[in-house]
Amino acid sequence: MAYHLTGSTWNALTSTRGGSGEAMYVQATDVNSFSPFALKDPNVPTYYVMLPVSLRQ
Amino acid sequence: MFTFTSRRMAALACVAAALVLLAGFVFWLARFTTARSNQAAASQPPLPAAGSAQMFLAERGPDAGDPCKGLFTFTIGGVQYCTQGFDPPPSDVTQDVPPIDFSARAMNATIVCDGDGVSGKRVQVLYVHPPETNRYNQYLTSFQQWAKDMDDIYNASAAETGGTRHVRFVHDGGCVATVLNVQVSSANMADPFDMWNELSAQGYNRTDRIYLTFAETSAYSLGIANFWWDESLSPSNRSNRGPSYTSSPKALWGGSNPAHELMHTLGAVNASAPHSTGYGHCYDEYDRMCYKDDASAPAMQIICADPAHEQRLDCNHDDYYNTNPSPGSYLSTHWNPANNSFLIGAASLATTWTGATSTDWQTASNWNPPEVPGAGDDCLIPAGMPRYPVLSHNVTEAYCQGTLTVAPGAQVVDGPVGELHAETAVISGTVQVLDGSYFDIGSAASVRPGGLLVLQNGDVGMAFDDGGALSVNGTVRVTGTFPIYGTLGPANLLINSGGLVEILEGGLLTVDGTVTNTGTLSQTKTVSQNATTSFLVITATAGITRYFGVDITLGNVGNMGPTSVAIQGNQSCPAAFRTLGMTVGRCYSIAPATPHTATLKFYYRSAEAGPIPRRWPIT
Repeated sequence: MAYHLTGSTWNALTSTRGGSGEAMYVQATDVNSFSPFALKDPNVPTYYVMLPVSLRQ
Repeated sequence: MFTFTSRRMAALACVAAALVLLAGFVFWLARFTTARSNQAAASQPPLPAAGSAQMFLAERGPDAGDPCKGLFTFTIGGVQYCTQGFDPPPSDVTQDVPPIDFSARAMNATIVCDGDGVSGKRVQVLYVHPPETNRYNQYLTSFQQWAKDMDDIYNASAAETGGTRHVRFVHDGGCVATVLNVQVSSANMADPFDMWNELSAQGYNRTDRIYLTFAETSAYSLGIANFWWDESLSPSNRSNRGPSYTSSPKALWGGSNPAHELMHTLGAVNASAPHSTGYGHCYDEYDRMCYKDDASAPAMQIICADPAHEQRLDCNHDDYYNTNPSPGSYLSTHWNPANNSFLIGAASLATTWTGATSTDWQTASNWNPPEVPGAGDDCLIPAGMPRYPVLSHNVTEAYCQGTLTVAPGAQVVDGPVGELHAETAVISGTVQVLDGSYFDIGSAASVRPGGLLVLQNGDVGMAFDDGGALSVNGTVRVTGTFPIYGTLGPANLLINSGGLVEILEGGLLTVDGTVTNTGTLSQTKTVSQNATTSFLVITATAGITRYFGVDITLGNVGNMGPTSVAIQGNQSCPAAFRTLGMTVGRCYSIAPATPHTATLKFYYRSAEAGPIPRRWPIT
C-alpha cells in the first residue's frame, strides 16, 4: 500500500501492487495531494526494538 | 660510464689496490688505476679488513657543496647519482645461490595487488644477464618468491609501528611480481654502474620506476644501490621518484639483500638520523640496514636484542622507517621512507596548489613545491588560494597520478573541453566537469560532506579505468548528459547516508555498474498532461536499468510543470515516517509546480521490502 502523510496522519491511497524481480512497484490512483509518501505491506509486521531505559530518582 | 669525485678518489684508488690483493675484486682495479693513478699516493687511509665493504668507503663524510655529501657519485645518462657503496654479504654467503627448492618450501609469491599492476610508481624486478648466460627460466619463480620475501620484510617492519606497507611491484594479473629478462654486455655486467647505464640506455629509465636487479654476475659479491641522500620532508624528495637502481649479484640472491638495497633507493639512512653512521647505514643493531660501514663510523650497539630483527627495518623505528612517527620526532620532521610513494600504504605527501601565477595546472610556479605533480604524486587543492585550476583540452590538462584532494572551499573547473585525470579523487570542495570534458579516475572517487561535483555534458563522462565507485556523502549535481562507467570493470554509484545526487532539468545520468542509494536521489522534470513522466530511471550505458524511481501519469487535467521527485532510499525514513511502520525502505517526496490529480507509480527493489525495525519508544 502507498500512504500519504497529511499533517500527522497517514492516509492509505487506492493502491495496486505490481512488478517482478528487482523492479517492484505500488501504483496509487487519484492522488491530488503531494508529498510525502511511503510504502507499507499490511501483512508484514514491523519490528520493534526495545531500547534500554535508565531510571532516575 | 661513471666517475668518482676527485676529492675521495685518492683514497679510493689506494684502497682499491688493496682490494685487488685482498678480496679479488678485479673490476675495480682498472677503474682506479687508469682513472686516477697519479693521485693514488695522495692519501693512505687505514686498510679495512679483507672482504669488507667498508674498504670502498674510506675517507668520506658530509661535505658542503657536494650533492652526494661524501658518498660516492657516478652518472647515468649524464645524471649524477650517489651511492653508499657496496654493502657486505652475510658471513655465510655462497657464490651462486641455487633456485628455491619448492618441493621443500611451498611457493607463496602472491603479493598485494595494486591497480592494473603497471600504472604509477612501481618497483620493476629485472633479471640482468650477459649474452653467454641466461638462467631466467630456471630462476623465474625464485625471483618472484624473493620479491614476496622482500615485501614481507617491509610489511612486518611496518606492523611494528601499527601500519601496513607493501612494495608496489610491477605485477601481473595474478598478483605476482613481473620479472623482466634483460641482457646487457658481458663487460657491463662486471660493474654495476656500467650495467645501470646500459639498462638506462635500453629504456629502463622511467621516473616512475625503481629497477631492482638480480644480476647474473660474480664479478662482485656485494649489493649496491643508488642513494639520493635527501632529507627533505617533501613529495619532491629525490628518493620519491625514479629512476633508481639496485644490484644484487648472484651470491646475494634472496629476499634480504634486495630489501636492503631497495631501502637505500627509498631514502635510508640519512646522515642526520639519530643512529646514522653518516654513510647510508645505522649502528643500532639488530636492523636490516645497520653495519659498520666505515672506520670512522660510530661503534655498533645492540639496541634491539633479538637477532631475528636483522630481518626487520629500523630498530626502534627512529631512524628511517616508521608508519606512525610521534609528532616532533625525527621521522615526523625529516624524510621518512615509510612514506615513500613507491610503497603501498604510504601516507600522502601531496604537491599543493598555490595558484600563485595563473589557473594553469601545468605551470610549476602554481605549486608547492614548485613543480607540476609528477608520477605517483598526490595533489592537494587547498582553500584560500587566489586562483584555482581551470582545465581545457590540449592547453591545461591535469594529471594527478596519486590522490587528488580538493579541500573545502577549493575548486577545480574542468572544461569546457577539459581533461582531469586522477588515480583517486577526494572532493570536499567543488569540482565542475563541464561540456565536453573528461574526468578519468583510476579506481575510486568520493564526494565528502560539503563537497560538490557538478556533471554537465561529459564527452566521455567519468571513466574509472580499473572499475570502481563514485561514493557520495556530499552532493553530485547532474546538469547534462553524463555517463559514469568503468573500463576494466564496472563503475558503481554509492549514495551514502547524507549524500545527494540531484539530476536537474535536462540532466541524464547513466551508470554501468550498480546504483546503491542509502542517501537521497532526486530529479526535476517537466510533467505534462496526457502523458507518463518517469523520474529517476538510471540505466547502464548498455541500456540495462540500474534504478527505478517514480512514474507520474496525468490525464487531461493540465500540466504540472517542473516537478521534483526525491527518494530517500534503502533506509528507514525520518521521524514522521516511523509512525506508519513502513515496510519498504524508500521515502518519496514529490513537489509539483502546479498540483493536479495524478496516478503515481512508486518503484522499489524487492530487496528493499521487508520489516524495518522500529525503535521503542517512538520519538
